[in-house]
Amino acid sequence: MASRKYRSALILIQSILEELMKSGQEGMVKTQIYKNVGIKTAVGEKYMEQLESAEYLRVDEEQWGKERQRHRVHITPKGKNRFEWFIQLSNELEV
Amino acid sequence: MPDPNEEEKKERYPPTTRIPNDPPREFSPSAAQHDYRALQSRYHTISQKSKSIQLVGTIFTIITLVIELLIYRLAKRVGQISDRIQIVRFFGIFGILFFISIIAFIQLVVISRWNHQTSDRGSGNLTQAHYRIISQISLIRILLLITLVLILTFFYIYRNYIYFPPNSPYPVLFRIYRSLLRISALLCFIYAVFEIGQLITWTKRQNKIKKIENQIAQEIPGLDELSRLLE
Repeated sequence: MASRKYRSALILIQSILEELMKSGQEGMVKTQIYKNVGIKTAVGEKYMEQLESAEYLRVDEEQWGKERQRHRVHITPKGKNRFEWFIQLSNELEV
Repeated sequence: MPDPNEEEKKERYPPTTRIPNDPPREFSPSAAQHDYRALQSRYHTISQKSKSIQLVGTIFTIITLVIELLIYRLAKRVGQISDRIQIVRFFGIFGILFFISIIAFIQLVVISRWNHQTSDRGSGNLTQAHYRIISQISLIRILLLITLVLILTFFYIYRNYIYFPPNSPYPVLFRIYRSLLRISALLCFIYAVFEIGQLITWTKRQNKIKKIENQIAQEIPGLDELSRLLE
């Protein structure tokens, strides 16, 4: 069963989306997301890359101080919709 | 000299309108935060509904335990004046009720824990609460199936093995026993209908979760690689 095999990855994806939902329009910097969900940067970067290409989130660069830049992540409407799918328990949703 | 941090703070967080006697708020909730809270609230409502429904099981448990106690006292009294085989035949059926009660209690504990996790006093993490209950759906379904098998066994024994001798030397005792048995049979029937409903609900949920996860897996082609990263 495909879903059982990917269960751990799906849980992590959902956790990332949940953190972004909680942060709202402000979004969250990548390092904060990795810290909150408890993953290493290398693993987190791979997940971010896949989620960005799936259009669940978008990554914006922002100025941080005078010379540095950092990446702020925001959830997209599609990502929000997928998070709602994940925890859908009632029967209104037809997939 | 103006503090640059204060200036930056003012730019990032413009002052909001303050309502008299309300504590000042630095942020107003964004649309996504509001969505998250609404989602959390809806999820908690569903888990609360499941808990309320599971309370039916608790009521069943309490009533059957009272019946068990009465049967036990009856059996003790009859035990003084009858042989053991007769006692097992007549009162063993209530052992099945006892097991049904235990399973109902276990289900209540599982659902109550889930409900607590989704509440404000819980972890506040929907993902954890959700996947915890997903991992227990199979257990819940097994418990429901066992309950239904036990109820069927109860009715089978009730129909085929419970026989009331016409000229019993203990007519009052047997009348009490027959009444308790009938009440138990009615409770079992009601509880069986309830459990069948729950079995259908949890089976549908499990199927829907699998469907959603498969759909997500199709949208993220690198999911295989992502899974291997976590091993």
